[in-house]
Amino acid sequence: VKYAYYPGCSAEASGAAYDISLKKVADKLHFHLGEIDDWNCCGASEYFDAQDRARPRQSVVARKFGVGR
Amino acid sequence: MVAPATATQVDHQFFQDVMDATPHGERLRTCLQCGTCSGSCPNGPDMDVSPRALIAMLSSGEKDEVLAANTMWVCVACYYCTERCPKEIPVTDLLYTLKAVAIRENRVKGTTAPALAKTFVDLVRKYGRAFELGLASKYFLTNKPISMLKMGPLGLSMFLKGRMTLTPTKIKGVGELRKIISKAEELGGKS
Repeated sequence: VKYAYYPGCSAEASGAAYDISLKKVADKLHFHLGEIDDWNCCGASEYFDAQDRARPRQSVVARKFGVGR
Repeated sequence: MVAPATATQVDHQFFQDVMDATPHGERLRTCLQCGTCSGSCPNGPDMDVSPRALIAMLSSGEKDEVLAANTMWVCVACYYCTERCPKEIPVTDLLYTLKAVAIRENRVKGTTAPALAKTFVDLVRKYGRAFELGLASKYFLTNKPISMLKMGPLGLSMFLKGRMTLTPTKIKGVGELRKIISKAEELGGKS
């Protein structure tokens, strides 16, 4: 099974442990995680207003990658 | 002669405005005051008003008290309250609405949370992704220079454990992202 994988900024740094363990589990379960190209910040909890503003690009990028609706 | 106690200013329009500004905000009317939100909150002990009490105050029109509470600034947006609410009230989103109102009406006190958010958003606009080292150093230097010294050892141990990157990652499409952010701001959003 192929999944589009959106790690998020924390997965590159302070939350790296989650990224490592997810990849190990996915490998054992034969899930293929394809990282979405050139993904951007989701806004996390720091966008107090207009929380969705960083997301439209994400869905376009994911669609180009061949997944999503 | 004893002066009469000052009556709290009651503002029922505020409750309606907050519901309108929050997706599924109308569900706030169905709050049972069961306290599941407060009991679920990992940061509840640090709040001067629990989420349950905040909703009660809001529905009673106690605008000044609601906006003076530290509840929304202590929230870490884990969404556990929202997940567990039996009436499916978007508690976390309510707190986001209150943050936005407090900033807009210049009523922020005793927290540097908006300054942290601004630093974060500026970095995302620059690189397209969050950059934790840049965020921490810029935020502490500007807002809490003394605390910065205490953060040093934590930063170092995070770096040694591979949990801190020294350089930011800049995405290729950062120009596209900036355009989207600017458009959203034009449409009325604020960071």
